[in-house]
Amino acid sequence: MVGAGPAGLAAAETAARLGAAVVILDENAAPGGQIWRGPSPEAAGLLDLARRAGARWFGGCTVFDADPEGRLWVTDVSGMQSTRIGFERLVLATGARERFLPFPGWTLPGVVGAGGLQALVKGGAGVEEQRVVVAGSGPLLLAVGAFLAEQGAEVACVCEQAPLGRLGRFISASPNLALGAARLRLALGSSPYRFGTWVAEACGRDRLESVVVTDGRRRWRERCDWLACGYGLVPNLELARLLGCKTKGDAVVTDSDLQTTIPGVFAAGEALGIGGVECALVEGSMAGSAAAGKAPSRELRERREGLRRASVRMADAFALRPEVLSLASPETILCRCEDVRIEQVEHARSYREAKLLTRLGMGPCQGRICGIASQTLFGWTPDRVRPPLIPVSVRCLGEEEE
Amino acid sequence: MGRTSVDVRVYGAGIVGAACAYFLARAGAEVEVVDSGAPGGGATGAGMGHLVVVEDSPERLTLTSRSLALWRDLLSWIECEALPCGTLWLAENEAEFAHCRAMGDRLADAEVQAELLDERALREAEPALRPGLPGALRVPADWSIYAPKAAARLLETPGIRLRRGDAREWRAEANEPPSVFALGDRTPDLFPDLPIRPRRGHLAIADRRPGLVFHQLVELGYLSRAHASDEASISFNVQPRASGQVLIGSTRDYAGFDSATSRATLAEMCRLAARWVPALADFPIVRAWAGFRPDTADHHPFIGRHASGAWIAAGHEGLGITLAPVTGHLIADLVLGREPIVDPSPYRLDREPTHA
Repeated sequence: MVGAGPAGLAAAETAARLGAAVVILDENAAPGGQIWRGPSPEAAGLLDLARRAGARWFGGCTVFDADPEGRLWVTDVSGMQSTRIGFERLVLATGARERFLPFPGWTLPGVVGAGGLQALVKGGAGVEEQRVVVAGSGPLLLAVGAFLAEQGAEVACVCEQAPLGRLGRFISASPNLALGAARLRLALGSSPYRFGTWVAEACGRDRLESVVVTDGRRRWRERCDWLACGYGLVPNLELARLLGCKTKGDAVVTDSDLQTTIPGVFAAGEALGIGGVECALVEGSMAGSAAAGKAPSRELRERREGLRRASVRMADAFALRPEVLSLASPETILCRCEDVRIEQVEHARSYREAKLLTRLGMGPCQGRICGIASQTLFGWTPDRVRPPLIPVSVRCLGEEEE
Repeated sequence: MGRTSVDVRVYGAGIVGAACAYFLARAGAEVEVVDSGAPGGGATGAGMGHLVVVEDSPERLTLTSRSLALWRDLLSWIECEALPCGTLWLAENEAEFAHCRAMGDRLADAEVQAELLDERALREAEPALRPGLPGALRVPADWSIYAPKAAARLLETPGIRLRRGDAREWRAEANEPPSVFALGDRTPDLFPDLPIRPRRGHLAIADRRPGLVFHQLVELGYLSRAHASDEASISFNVQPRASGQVLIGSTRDYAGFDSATSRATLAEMCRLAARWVPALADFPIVRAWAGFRPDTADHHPFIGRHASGAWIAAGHEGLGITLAPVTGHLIADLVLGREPIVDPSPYRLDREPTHA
């Protein structure tokens, strides 16, 4: 199991219970993935069940290379040492990351991802009495706003780009979600949650001091110490693509047992398209079961179908409006690793051409941020994925075959 | 030339096609360059961008040294991250060091500056190399460049128009305008009688850590593996980039057009690099890739006229970037009926291939 978020843990627990010899890998030291980051009873509970059934857990391990013949190459956080792990069946539960879109000032210190600021705070950064604007799109914003408020931050506002009409229709058709949303809204307290608004610009001399918020008609300034900004989530598909699994849009293609187009390789959770934690748990159980040789139950399949239908409605409700795709000015940085500005690539005819001429996406992050952003802005298709998936030392790449 | 708006059409917007277009346009021709993908997206973008004088055959010495002279002029106005790093040809033992000396003499005869570095001078020049190496030959006038940028700049020359299109649109019967094909390893798609094979090479690039190596470092054995053998091989070949990155090569094998990297080959290439420059072992590799050198049977390029009437400039193996200007100049000379810059006969398409 690659990934120890809800999908990976559910897959591990199920497969181990069915008698498979299971290894769980995750790049974080603790299980839980992004959604259950920090001390998480859910993650600890599932991992405990999986381990009692015989699964072995390795945290702080990142896969940097893999082949469909059943080999994974794994490195520790330092990128200095590597190990090879064999598999007969593989479950990709690689989760998702935030989508960042460039706008003037987005590279200022103090501008971070929405989930990113949450992770920072869970990692020990204090936000008490600091003023935060949360902006972008998706259900994560409300959760982050509520979390930050609980941690003592002064949440100036939560700016959701999707219009009230679309969200209202979605929420009223999803009573379970409505309840959760209402609970989070209460936790947010008196801070406003504004539909149909977005941050047009981040301002400050050496660090963020304020943001310009707009609803498309008016513009106003909000003073803040932090901007936590993310435009929804995108699945992490690098490992799936490296293995040669077919993908469609932003999702791995699978059969009804969640087997990818590479035999023996399964996928679950956000890798199949953003579906949320409940969907990830169901799909993890399905993939874990199928990987252990037992077809997933009809009940699981039916639950999954319902959850996937809801996730499609959710994606529609939070679809990005054209205005947020044109916030960047020609001088706005698009690729932070290689200092590439919008004007250097906006006339390129493909991602490949932009890369060749400017090194866009060719720095240490390997286009994980600017690749997604430029594909969102310009409609480019991603390039081929090659190892190493993350930077690893010459020694790691050169290690002798065992 | 003719009254049509296009005097010469060049198929292929890699560095060789771009150089052909440049020298044609500079002579006053209206040139249309046709490519189905991004300029420099083939071997040009996959290669190291090492501009290097090679003396392992008289033809190669003439061609590379003339091309380097043309490059020097071009680099006075083309911004392409050019670094005048020079090359160190590294000897591993006394026999190879003697060979370095002979190489230096041959280069001197061709008026290419070169100096022999003994063990101590080598250690001063490149302290990161493993100790105990007998010495090296230093060729100071070699460069490293970022070739896709060079191709893009050449294609901005007035008189050149770039069009997206497929070389298969060409019809031999329509002889106007004259057409130049700089299709590299894709040449046999149109000209099956020209045996050009993709010769795969792996490269890996380390993140910015300037100050480790200062020259392009190449082990002497590289040359014989590249030009006197068809065996799969791996040679130590490391390049400092103007960006501060370090590029690690190089490998050769025939693997069809599969551009997937080979795990075992990459691993061996990395081990070899760390054996020559031990501190490289801790350098983070941010990317690795494989590309294809367009290779002919005798590893010399095809530059000349095909029976169909088409002009061909392809098959430069690992020297396409080095040889682009001299190739472009020669093609312009031949197409326009000028005195050729070098004797074109060794590069005729109908030559008997002999191993260099």
